[in-house]
Amino acid sequence: MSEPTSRYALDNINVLVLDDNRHMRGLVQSILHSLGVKNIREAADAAAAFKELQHFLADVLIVDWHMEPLDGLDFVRLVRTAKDSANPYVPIIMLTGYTEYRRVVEARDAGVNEFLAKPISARALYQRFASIIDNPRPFIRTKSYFGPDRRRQNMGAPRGVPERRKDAEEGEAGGEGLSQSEVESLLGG
Amino acid sequence: MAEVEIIETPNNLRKAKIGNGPGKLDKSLIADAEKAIQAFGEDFSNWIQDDIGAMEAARLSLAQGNNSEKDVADVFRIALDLKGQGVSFGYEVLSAVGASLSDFLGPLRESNATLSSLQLDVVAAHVGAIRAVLSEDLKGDGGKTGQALMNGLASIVAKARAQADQQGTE
Repeated sequence: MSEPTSRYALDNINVLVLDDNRHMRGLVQSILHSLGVKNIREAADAAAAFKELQHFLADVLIVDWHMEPLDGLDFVRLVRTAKDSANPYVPIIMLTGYTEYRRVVEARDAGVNEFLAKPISARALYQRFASIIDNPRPFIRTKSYFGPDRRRQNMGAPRGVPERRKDAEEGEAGGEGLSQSEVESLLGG
Repeated sequence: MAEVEIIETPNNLRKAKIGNGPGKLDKSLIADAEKAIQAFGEDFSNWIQDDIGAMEAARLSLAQGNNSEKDVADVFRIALDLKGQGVSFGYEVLSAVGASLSDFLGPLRESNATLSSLQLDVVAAHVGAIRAVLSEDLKGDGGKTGQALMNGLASIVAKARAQADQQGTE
């Protein structure tokens, strides 16, 4: 296989980082700067982030899960489905210490594009951006879901991961953390 | 309206790609970013003190008999943060302690259970272990000290879980 000839230029994209922990915000910003991202805004809570999106044209959101009073999932649902959402289609990377099966499914079903498990690494964050850039997905609207297409492109159900329709039956199953490749399979990447 | 509507969205991120086909990750940028993580973490053991203080305050409040959901949530949140941050800055044991505490408290927090005396001891043991890791600057896996800390925590967690299981079946 020949070497890829294309490359990523993150210097002209806008990124919003939402995390209630200022150190994590600082860390993510620091990584993004090193990867070439110049235009970064940050927010410490979901309400502030939602407000920021009314005038900041974010190309990608990086969202922590565990926050209060609204958590990252609440925020994702707001962005995807609120009537006054500025950009329901914006790609969202969920950053979290949760990696259990049911959590990843929950994030996917809220409309998350990519899932990045802590501890964060520069390569992993870079790869999430690459995935979003290389694999734009159409959005799907059904009675119970609005978000990026959850099906894998041109592939069957990923090995070792139950099909989506079985998720409800799985319930609390799979308390163990998933590997990144299993997470990607679940998210349809 | 159809039951499933497929919406082709504009690809705003095309501007972030030069050339066609899968892109190549720039290794020098990754190296720069890893250096930035290390630089950011140089003062980690100091700036984490605020979080440890908040965790200790919540633990004390619980130990004084305040059955506060917020206190449990605060301890859980900080444990989850430590789990996510420790490894990034070379403190693998700290991440392991954070993971142990968040795994233990997660189900209790979701069920809004009042913590038993032994469960409070579990929290206290974890807070003590976190303080030990930082005061001894236990980086990496922490060697024998790190292993002893983790064994001690695993033991008290197992005891608390066994007690809870027993009470659940009585």
